[in-house]
Amino acid sequence: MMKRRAALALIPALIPVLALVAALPFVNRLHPVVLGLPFLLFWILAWVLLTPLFLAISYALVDRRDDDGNGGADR
Amino acid sequence: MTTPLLVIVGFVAVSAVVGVVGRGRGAMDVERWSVGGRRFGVILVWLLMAGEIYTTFTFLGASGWAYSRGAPAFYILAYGTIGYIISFFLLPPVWRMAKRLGLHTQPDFFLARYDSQVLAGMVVLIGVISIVPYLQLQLAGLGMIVEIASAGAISSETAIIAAFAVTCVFVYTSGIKGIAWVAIIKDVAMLVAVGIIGIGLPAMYFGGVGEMFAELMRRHPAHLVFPGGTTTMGVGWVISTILLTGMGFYCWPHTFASAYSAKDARTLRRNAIFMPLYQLPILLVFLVGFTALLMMPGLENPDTALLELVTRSYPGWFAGFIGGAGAVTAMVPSAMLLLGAATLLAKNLYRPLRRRPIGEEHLMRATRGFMLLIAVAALLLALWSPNELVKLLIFGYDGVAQLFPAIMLGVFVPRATARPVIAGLVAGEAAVVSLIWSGHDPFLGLNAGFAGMVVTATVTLVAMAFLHGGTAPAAAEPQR
Repeated sequence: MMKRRAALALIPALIPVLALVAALPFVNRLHPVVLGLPFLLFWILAWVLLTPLFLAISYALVDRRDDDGNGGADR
Repeated sequence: MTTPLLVIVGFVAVSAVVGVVGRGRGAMDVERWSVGGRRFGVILVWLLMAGEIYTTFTFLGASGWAYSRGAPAFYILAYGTIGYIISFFLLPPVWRMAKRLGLHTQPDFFLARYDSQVLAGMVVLIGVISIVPYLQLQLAGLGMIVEIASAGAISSETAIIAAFAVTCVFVYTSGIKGIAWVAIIKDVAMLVAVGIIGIGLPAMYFGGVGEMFAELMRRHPAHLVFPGGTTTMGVGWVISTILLTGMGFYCWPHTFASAYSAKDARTLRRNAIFMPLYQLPILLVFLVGFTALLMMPGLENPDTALLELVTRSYPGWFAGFIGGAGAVTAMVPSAMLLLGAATLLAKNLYRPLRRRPIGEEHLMRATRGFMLLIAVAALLLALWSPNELVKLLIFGYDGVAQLFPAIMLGVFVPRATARPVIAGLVAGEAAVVSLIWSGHDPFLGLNAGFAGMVVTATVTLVAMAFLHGGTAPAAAEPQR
């Protein structure tokens, strides 16, 4: 059960990774200009700003019993 | 003394005082000096981590690259984010192991997990050798700031030596907590400075950020897509560099060990969530670099673009403020790096090599001694072997990121043992060094450090499949 939840928490975190790494060949362009920024820069910036959102979802999914306590010495 | 210089000196002096006062009361031992007694909450940990991330490189290197290379500089915006995402999953188990076993340093982790003095010693050397170019970068940046702010009245050599002496004094007396307090000054100053010039300079010359980009796209359309102003930094280079530096982000001895200072594992996850927002100022620094390209093309040293544009555009006292903020952003990370590297050498190389056991006080003395030694080494390098700031940072990353497979295996794969990891590290570091020295960086369009990491990971995994020797030490057991 713990393992499943940990794996589940990985999924939202992978989305910004794909956007900032794998998607780059497809967004390497100037147009359309968004908010005055060339598209490539806008894309990277947008995903940097969206990352906390995705990590917050991971945070909700991760098994927080792991994070509590005193380092697990008594487990 | 010129006005900018006076402001800079005042800035640095105040920071140094805060560093010494901020240590708190009571006797100093290695535990307190290096991990702050493991009692830091979200805010102090955040400050420390941010303190390590915003360096003079952010100020000068990032604007320099935006100026000279264009789009490839965008990797700087992306890699930290990748690093934080990895840290969300990696640091909590690392913290738990550190807490349970009373670890202080990164090699402590390798020693506890892999039970190998040889591996721990290698990790010390890889860490310290990678830190030296990073330190050198801070020093070179510092020298540049003071030299330009004083309009050449103070040579960069004199500036480097003076500011570095101040850094040494404050890390020598205050330890990690003093540094955390100075990091507050530094971050506030940096945010204010970058906010003002990042928005102000494009507005001053073009009427706004959008107008500045429109002009840049008209004059240099190729500058804003990969490979920008370069021939070798295409999309393959950018992707491999983001991956390498993102994975290397928490492989530095000081960033890795900064996780230990958190008071619980949850603190680390919350940090990871919010840290990407802290990358935003880098965008503003890019804007300054781009404005400088349009306003003053053809600078001999692109790393000076931000400072040259600021001194040309603002009154002296404000240029001094920018310089002071820049100087402190060099000093705080330098102090962190020095503290980290010195603790490693004393605790994980010097102590195991001594035949007789040594006491806490002796260890503390040794740590401080090594700190001065490393400081002097980096100082000499900064004075005699100048290099482009971003290059220096990437060199450091190339070396230290090779630890990533070993850290991941150590945390998540209980059956991983020391010998395959050692084989992978030796092969990977050899690959990196030979690629860089033979001028093959980028290699096949990829970052040479990334090519090295492919070697490290492959050799480690193949060796794991063939070497069955030994059992994993008890620390490797999954912690539930």
